[in-house]
Amino acid sequence: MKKKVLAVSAACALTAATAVPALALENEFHGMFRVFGTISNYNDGGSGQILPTDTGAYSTGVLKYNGVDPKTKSFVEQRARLMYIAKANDDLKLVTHFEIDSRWGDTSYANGRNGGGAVGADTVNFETKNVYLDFNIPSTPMNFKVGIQPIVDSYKGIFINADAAAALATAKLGDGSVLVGFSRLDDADTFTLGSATATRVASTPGKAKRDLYIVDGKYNITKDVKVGASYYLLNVDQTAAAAYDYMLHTVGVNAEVKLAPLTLDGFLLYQSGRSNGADKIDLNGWAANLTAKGKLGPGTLKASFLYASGEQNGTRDDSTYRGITNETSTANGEHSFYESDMMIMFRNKMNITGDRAIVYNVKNVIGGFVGYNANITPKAFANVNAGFVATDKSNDDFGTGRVNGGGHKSNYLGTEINGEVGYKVFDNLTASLQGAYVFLGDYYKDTVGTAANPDDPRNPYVGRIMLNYAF
Amino acid sequence: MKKMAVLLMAAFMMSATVPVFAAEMTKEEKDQCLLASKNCATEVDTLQKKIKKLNAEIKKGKKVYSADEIKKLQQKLDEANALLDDILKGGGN
Repeated sequence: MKKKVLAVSAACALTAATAVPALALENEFHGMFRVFGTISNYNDGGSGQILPTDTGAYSTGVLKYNGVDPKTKSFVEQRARLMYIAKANDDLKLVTHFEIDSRWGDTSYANGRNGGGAVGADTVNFETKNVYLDFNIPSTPMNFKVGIQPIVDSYKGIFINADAAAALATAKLGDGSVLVGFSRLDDADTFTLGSATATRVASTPGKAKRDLYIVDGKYNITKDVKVGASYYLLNVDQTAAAAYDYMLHTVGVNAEVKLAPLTLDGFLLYQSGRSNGADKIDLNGWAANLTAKGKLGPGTLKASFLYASGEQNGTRDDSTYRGITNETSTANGEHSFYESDMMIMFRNKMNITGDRAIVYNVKNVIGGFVGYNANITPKAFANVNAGFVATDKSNDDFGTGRVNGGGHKSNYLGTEINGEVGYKVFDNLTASLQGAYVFLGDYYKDTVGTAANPDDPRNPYVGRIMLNYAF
Repeated sequence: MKKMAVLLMAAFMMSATVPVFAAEMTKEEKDQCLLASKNCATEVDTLQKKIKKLNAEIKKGKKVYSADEIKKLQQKLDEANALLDDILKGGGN
């Protein structure tokens, strides 16, 4: 009997020891690798806004471009992203996401991001994009994401599309969901824009900060009709004495309707706030979008419209629409409108370190975009896009006025045409050729040269060859 | 007899807990993992493959899955799409 008990116990122990894969950690790796070869008279491999009226003066690291006589630049840049997910089970995982960027020939044996492409390589260039915990509360509809994570608004990214430290809670309720969140965008003495060093409250966490509070609801009325509404509160608590101390309330509504074969979607955003300090500037901006997409032949035809308000004079009240910006670097935009599919007028979704655009921050702009994506064969694809872009108010947001006086001749910034042809070497490896050209509008008429000999800046162009592997 | 039953039970339980070994190749088969990096025991789906598989399973609909299970598959599909978007999207210089 004793032996039988022993045998049964041994069998049970062995069974238990070998039958616990459910408790084991699932290791998930994903990532991507992209290489761009670029030739351009515009993109210089840096990031941020470049204006056709820039004169080549090299200031704050941005203005290498010379609109009168832009030099042809050629460079190759690469980006690798590695994502590791430690998944305990379906309800609990840690997500980490890293990035390594280099421009061929840039630096070697250095300590710092965006380098290591020069002979010798060996550079400390490992960036951490995301580290966050993603978990569900069992038997409830609640999901939490806590840590440094990607945040994308419900407005195609024109308010925020960035990595940020945040705590987001989402409740799924029937056909709807509600997200409530908090993000600390930046803190203490990290500000480089808007406030003078002397007025900062240095090294006191929580005393000079920008916080973002998010409430975002979505509801599927039917399978084909979805609506949403949001409230974002940006608390800019930088210094009590300046215009950079305000609460900006942003409310928005969005909808998507499928009317086969068309899909229509769009949004409306309104912003309101008042700065503290002596000036008490009223902030009132708004933005709107409408997009229609539909199958046509072997591809998809898209037409899109975007409006973001601007300001004529900037005193007492400011009607500029404002997305979230970065205040710790000169790159600035932590929002985007990738849906435009532009390559020069707006930031392009495929850009890596060479992330240049005329309309870098979405503000003071009216744009119409049409595009067609086609799958020529299961392996080959092509797309063409055209964008027609103007300013809302005729100020100097996108370049200085005429050199012989009189501001800008028109609000029209320019027309961009671009295209791409590509081939899927494998399911997850794509090779493509891209090109873009901008016919600058009369906004730039006579804006470079001298008062005696005014000139127009040259039209920007870019050509790229890209390899993209994602897994 | 009882002893035999206990041993049989133990053997059965063990065999049920080691499916990986059970699926191993026979001597005559080629090792496709070594030869062509295919069918490796530790193979993990790429995001694209995961998305394809999830779409295929969702298409099977209520004949195979319950409404809750379809919802769960859809949620996993949304997550995989979001991860792929996040990996591919530009910016961040």
